[in-house]
Amino acid sequence: MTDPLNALNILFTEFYYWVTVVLMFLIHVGFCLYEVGVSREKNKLNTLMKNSMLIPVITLGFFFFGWWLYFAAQNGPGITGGWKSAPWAEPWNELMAPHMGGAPAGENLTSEETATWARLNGVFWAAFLLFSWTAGSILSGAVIERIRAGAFWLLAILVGCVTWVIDAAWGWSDTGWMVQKLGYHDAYASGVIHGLAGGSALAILIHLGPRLGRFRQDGTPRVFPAHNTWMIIIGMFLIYTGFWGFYAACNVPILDINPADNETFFSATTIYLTPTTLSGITFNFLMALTGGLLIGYIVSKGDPFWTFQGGLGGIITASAGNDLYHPIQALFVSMLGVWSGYKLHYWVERRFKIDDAVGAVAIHGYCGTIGVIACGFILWGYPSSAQAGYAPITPWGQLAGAIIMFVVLGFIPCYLAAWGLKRAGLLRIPREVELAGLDHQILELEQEQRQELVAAETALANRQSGEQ
Amino acid sequence: MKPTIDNWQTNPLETGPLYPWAGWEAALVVAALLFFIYFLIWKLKSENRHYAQSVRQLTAEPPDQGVSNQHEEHDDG
Repeated sequence: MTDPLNALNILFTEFYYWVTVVLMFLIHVGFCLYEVGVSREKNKLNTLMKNSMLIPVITLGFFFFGWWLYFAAQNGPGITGGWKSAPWAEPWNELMAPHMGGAPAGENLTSEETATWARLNGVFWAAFLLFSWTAGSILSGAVIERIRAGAFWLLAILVGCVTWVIDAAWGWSDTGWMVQKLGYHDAYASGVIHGLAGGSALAILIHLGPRLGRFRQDGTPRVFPAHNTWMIIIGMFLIYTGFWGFYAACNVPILDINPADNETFFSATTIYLTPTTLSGITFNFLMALTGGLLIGYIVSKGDPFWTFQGGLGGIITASAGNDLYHPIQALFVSMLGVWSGYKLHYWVERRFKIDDAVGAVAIHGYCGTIGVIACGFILWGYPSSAQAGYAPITPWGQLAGAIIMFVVLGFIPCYLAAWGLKRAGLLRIPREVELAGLDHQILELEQEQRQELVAAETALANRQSGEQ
Repeated sequence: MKPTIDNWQTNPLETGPLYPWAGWEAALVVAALLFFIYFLIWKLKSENRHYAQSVRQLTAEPPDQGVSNQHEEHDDG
């Protein structure tokens, strides 16, 4: 931190990520509003607490092992090497706390590494942590009104601190084995977060089963009217806003990308350290949102729920290649994803009786997976990394990557975990409680309190009129 | 216990941890990890108890016929 340019670079980067983290917090606010709005009156408080409390649960898990896992597992391990050393991310390392970056923090860290991580470790950790919350929140919406909170939090730890972190290590780091061997490219996490979380949600829903009364005798679904449409709409707008911050957080804000040693050329880069610009991804973010909103509106015939979901699905679909797409490509890719996701949602719902309360599997899982595969065709032949010798982007590399995200790391671990919880009787709330509502005791107490208050006020009014 | 920082008039290039009890990080992590595990187990158990009680209440007969049911509840603990 003695060289002015280097110090300015590091301090700017520190501030940059700090701002993105604050923006991304809005994603969680949005998810909470959205889920509570979708849930019925009798379940709203439980729905709120289930999602809100994943914040402390995932945060602790991510502090203890999630952050370390991201660096340690980048080689597979066993595919391109063994476990990688990441002392700065070990929970007991002094760099996982306020630190001035003076003397090297351990035998495996140089002075330069110590100085850099002292400034960036907390904000990087927080940026990834908020991605983890998002992964957990995606599950949360799908399973509302019948899952036990304890079981949900265990599943959220599995996804938010283990499986998504492993897939990020593999496919969302500059040296991950999927990037090296498959040419996997997923700049803004279509598959890494959304595909994986969608696959996870689908696996849990299979074991969890539909909400009581969801399907008629003939197998057609009943609509559960949302208890507060405005909460849903405001929630969606907040998720869009937070997603904007997420895009910025996926970038490295300033890096010398000139391979020649004699000159410097600063640019923003993706997480693969390939150049992009905030300007370019802003074009694409908004065009993807536009495409998603338009096709969501068309395919749902103007239904507000699916129109707003379409906007989100559009961004998710185009995210894999939004560092490089032309805005019109982002527009069409987003349309393809939302149309396909919408159709798949209803087909799966009717065919397999899957009750996805908020369409999370469709918007995150199907759109994310379609986005990853589409990216393989549109960016076919592009280098996947700034490193020489890595595989280029190809349709088959992206298809393999999409399967790893949705099935191998998304569906299978959660299918097994949810099966275990179901066997232990810990997954679903009792039928009687589901019928009465998860908040039935609180609502009854509130009713009693209201009645007592009315009785007291009436008695007071009667006494006053008697005195007059 | 000696504070980690006892004087700000030092060379920042030689300053490392800013938090108190430097050197005790592993113990802090173990303590927090134990609490984390305790919380998760407590939640699973308390949720089980809560739902069992709720089911008993929701399936109880009306008060004028519920004397024997109350005994059953008591026996269930």
